[in-house]
Amino acid sequence: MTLNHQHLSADSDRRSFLKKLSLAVGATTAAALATESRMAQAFYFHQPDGAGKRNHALFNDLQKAVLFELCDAVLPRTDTASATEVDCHRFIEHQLVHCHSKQEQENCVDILNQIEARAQKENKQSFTLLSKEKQQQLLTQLEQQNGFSSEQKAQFTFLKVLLVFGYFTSEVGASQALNYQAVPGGFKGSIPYTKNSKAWGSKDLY
Amino acid sequence: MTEKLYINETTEVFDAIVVGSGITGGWAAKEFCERGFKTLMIERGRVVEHRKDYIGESKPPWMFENRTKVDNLLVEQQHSVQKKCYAFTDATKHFFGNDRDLPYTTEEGTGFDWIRGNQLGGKSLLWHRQSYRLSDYDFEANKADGEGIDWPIRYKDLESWYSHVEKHAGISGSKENLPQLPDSEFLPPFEMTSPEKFVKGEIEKHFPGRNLIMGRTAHLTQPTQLHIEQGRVQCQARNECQKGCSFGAYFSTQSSTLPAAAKTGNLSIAPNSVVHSVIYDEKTKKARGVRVVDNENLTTREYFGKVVFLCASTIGTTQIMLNSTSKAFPNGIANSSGALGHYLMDHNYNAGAYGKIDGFEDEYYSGRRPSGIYIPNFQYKPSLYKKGYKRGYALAGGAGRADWQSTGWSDGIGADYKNKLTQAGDWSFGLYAQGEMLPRYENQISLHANKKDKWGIPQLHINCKWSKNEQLMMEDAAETAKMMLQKAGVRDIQTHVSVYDNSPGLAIHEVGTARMGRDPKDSVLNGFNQCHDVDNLFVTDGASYCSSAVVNPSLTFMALTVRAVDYCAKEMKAGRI
Repeated sequence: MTLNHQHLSADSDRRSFLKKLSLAVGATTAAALATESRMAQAFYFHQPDGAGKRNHALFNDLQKAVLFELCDAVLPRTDTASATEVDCHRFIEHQLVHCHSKQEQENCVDILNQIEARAQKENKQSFTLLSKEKQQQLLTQLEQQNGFSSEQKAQFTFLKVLLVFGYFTSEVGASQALNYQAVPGGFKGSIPYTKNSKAWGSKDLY
Repeated sequence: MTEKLYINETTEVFDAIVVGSGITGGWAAKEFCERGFKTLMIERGRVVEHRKDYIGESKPPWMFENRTKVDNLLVEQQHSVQKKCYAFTDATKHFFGNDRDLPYTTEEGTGFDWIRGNQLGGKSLLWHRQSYRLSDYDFEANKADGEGIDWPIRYKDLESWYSHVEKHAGISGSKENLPQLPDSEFLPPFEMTSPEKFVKGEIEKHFPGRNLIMGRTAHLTQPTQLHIEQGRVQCQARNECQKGCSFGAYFSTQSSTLPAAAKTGNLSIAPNSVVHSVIYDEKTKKARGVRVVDNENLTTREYFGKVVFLCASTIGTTQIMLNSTSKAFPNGIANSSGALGHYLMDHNYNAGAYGKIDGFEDEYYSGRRPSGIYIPNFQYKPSLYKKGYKRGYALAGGAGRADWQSTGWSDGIGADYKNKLTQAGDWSFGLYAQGEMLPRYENQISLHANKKDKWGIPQLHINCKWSKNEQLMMEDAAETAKMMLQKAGVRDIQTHVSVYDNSPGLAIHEVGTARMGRDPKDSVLNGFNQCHDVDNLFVTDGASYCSSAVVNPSLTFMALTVRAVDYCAKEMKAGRI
């Protein structure tokens, strides 16, 4: 595949995604969510890999929209970027398809459906249309197993940990939200640490 | 390095043929070359050039499509065994074998995870670099408690050779004067963190005879002139070693022994050459060379030499020997004893304990230390054995502060949760057992009766499992580690015992299967790693081990190899080989 083809395919994917996202969350929101720069990075995960073609569409449009909202409810913008600003929603789908089992994929689909169903039941509204506070309340109830089972909590925790992994292995997450030492220059066994200072974002091999 | 370094077809009769290019092969080649011997190093895999071919190095996680995880389709199709290795990631996977092409079978009810590094440099690119000398308690263990045969050598036989390899390789560590763990020629040790210093004090106070020291590792904490001349510089504490290190800060064939061998002008390398068997001359009763199948186009060729050193990894070497049949040796070359293939051992890394430790919240560390703390085996002679099982184990571990990788699992939604994940969390402290495995006749590798690999070489069949001794040792190690941590003030301690879940292999310390010994009736090699039956055939890798001992074996592979080369060279000059 040439570079041009990749661009074409990414662009048509992007437009079709925008269209679908609009259907789920409304055109204005979709446009605001999907800024050019964000989408350009998002579609990095859609490029073909060496291991052969895979069905990339794990989530339907509604599930994608719920996931998008969930990402920023869990890791919102603070003094650093939010989860969707570094494309965690795209990363999660990509990573589930390429590095996780069918069962894990299905669990994630399932918990997104459960979250949406709860929002509809309690608020008569899609999770995607709730305020950030309401969304966070609902997810907190889920973690506290308030009206949710321990199995559902486990499904959510798995998804949340994957989100955290995606965020802190992104460039922004590893080097802005955390301190990144590419080449430390040596090991010091003790340096001062004050509360609220950043942890290392640079990791060992494993 | 010149183009001439790499050869394919040749009629030259080399002074020495070295099969394998990993830790032992690299040392054998260097030592022969520096003695003026025209040496051929044979490697079954591709060439990996220092620096140039470290394609995963320096890449941060966001540069990998799957953030350093390996695509599961690729894993399923090509790395179903290798994936179990702790160091197997998207940044290192090209240095691991392709399981699709490297099939083997295991006996029903047993398992063995065979980790492979089939390229120039072998597993020296991937090793964990922990480096310890064996002591006389190790060499005498079999004799002392009756498990296995006595090693034909003692510490004094290897002592000067340990020094020789350590000065060149560069081993960091601290002098401790421990009876069970002789000191090496050390570069400065890595620093301990404050909780590690604290736990050291507590353990050494409450448990006389148990010492907590800094792990000894083949890293240049302070390079000497000799290391600088090899083109190596100080360790930068990235701890991403298995991607390859352009600083040459850890010992590998590429960073250390290969440049030294190549510099002599005596080295040739035959890459992509899968050794099928050793060619045996029934008249002279000597090895004449090796038969090779081309890794890529599957054509065959032969290489000839005056002596053959098998350094192809424990299991790889024995596979070649078993497949080298002749009238004199219908069951494998130099196998008149019938011991070849038997007494396979690994280390048992299947128990541990960890918990949290309070009081150091205003401290952190800088850099990623490529080593941990180490508590040497404290059951190193029968009078110190625990009830119910023989031998002992070391405990490796260390302290670190939690980060998002663990705090991510805690409850929390929103800005507070996010902020918590960006900070250093609780200190934790862990100790993980590294146990000895007894030499047992039943733990055997053999050639499969009819299955062959793509090179037409019979596949290996592995029959290996932990015995009751290894299981009881792990049960005890978990409880002992817990007790030690408790005394040291560690709280919320959790233990694990995984010996019932994990097969041998994953310590990647496989040894035995062509053991040394004094009696040709029950051993394959003599005390100089020379085959009893074929005097110009040597085995200097882990296959030669009589007992697994407790410590990481690679440093001893190096010392055994250089000693064997020295002996072989003298025997050749004296006309006895």
